[in-house]
Amino acid sequence: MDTFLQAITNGLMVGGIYALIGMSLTIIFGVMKIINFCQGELLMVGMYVSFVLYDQFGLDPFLAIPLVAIIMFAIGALLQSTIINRAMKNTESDDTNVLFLTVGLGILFTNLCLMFFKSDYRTAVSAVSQKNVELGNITVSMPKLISFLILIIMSVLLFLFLKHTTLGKQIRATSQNKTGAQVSGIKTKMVYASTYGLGAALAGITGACLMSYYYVFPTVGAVYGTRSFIVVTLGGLGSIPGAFIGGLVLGLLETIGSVVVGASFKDTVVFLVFILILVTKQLVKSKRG
Amino acid sequence: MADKYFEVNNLNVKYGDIQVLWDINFYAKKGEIIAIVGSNGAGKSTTVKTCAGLVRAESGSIKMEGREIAKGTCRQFIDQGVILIPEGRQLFAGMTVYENLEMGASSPEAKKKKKDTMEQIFTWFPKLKERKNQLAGTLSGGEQQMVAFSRGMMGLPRLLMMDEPSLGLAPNIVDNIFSIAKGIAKESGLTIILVEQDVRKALKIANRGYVVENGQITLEGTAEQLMNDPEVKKAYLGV
Repeated sequence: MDTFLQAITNGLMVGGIYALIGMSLTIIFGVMKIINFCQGELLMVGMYVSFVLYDQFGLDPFLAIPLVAIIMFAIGALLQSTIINRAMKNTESDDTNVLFLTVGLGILFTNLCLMFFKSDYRTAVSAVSQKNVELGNITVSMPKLISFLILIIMSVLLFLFLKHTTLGKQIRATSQNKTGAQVSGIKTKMVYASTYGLGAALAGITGACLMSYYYVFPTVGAVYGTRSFIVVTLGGLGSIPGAFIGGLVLGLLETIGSVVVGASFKDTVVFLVFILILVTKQLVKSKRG
Repeated sequence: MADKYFEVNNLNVKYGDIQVLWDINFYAKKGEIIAIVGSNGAGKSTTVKTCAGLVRAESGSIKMEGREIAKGTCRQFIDQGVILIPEGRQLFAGMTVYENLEMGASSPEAKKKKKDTMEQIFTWFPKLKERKNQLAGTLSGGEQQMVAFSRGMMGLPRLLMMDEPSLGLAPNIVDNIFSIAKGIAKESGLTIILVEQDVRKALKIANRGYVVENGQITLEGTAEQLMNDPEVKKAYLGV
């Protein structure tokens, strides 16, 4: 029983990270209707930003989060308004342009980081890195617990931002109806750049959290990129609450899967359940007509 | 000419390589209601979309109060008081009626007068006041058209373009919206450009009209002249 509870706890902690990266991907899709294939790489860049802040200025990964978020927002907004927006102009009928562009950007980021940081594994140590929290017979590592709390805080902040601020409402409006947004006088270009910046910032925050107990290397993004797609597909493309739940479900699947069938088969469990959910979803959909 | 409040000259529009509008010329005087009529696919919608900055013109000029705006973004058109109520309403279905209206107030001036404008709108459409916290997607078609119209009014237009407002609505609802629009035009000098497939209805409330066929204006005149034109009668009024 204790192993099981421990697995659930671990699952929620891992799932928190998946939920955050999933939310960052889904908000970009929801507004711009593009599938951002370099989301994992943005997370990786966020990790390196966090690493540099630690390495050069001795900043604790958790304390560096606001700074990482701001830097990643700027990178994201700049990327969108200078490069991605140009590809989107020609894609009324053809989304493949943006698709290839984001894949290409991902490869570019990976190789830039390889150039600057080599392929070595790098770590940043947080003041709480070695600490554990004991709850009865269950042990949770402190950085993971803090990361999970950050997920909760970010979800609440994101909800409040979208619900109550002018920019948040404009983002929702643009995602629901672009023509409607344009004829209402919303500057959709600005909304797109901000949304992509927001997605990049969330990916960066995920990276900074991860940095507190994991290591960074140039291809670390690939794992989380793939996971983010699963999360978003589980939760429904464009749905933020869906990504939140999808992330936690994925985390639980992984850890419970590794307890039940063994760690080497945990991915098999994840993908089997994922395929099952997809098929059922489609069946339910086609039954409803 | 000074009395040409809104003026479009030699407007050409292409979608990719295909030209859809050829040398469109028309104008509206202050407080006038202009009808642009024609059959499906004639280019009426494209005309007003171009006049709202949603579609970019290949060449030609669009002037509001003598100011050239053809090269602007949709927002810049709105800042000049030129606002489109698009075909199919294009509401934010997952947002409340109140939020939808709020989004319509985008220019600094419109933002400042947001509360007053909304009060005014609620006197025109008391139903919207009752439903202001309801999601726009859950409203009936007629109520949605009221929201679309009101969202446009929130931007404090001086020229309001309505693209097929009657599409899929019951006649009495259309009459209600038209009579309110006509009242506003009379009271505050709002200029209205009405794009309609329902030619009879459009010409009934308009002062003047233009007939668009195959991307060109083929006929223009006062509403009365058009109503009595044998070609119009045969093609659009079914007489």
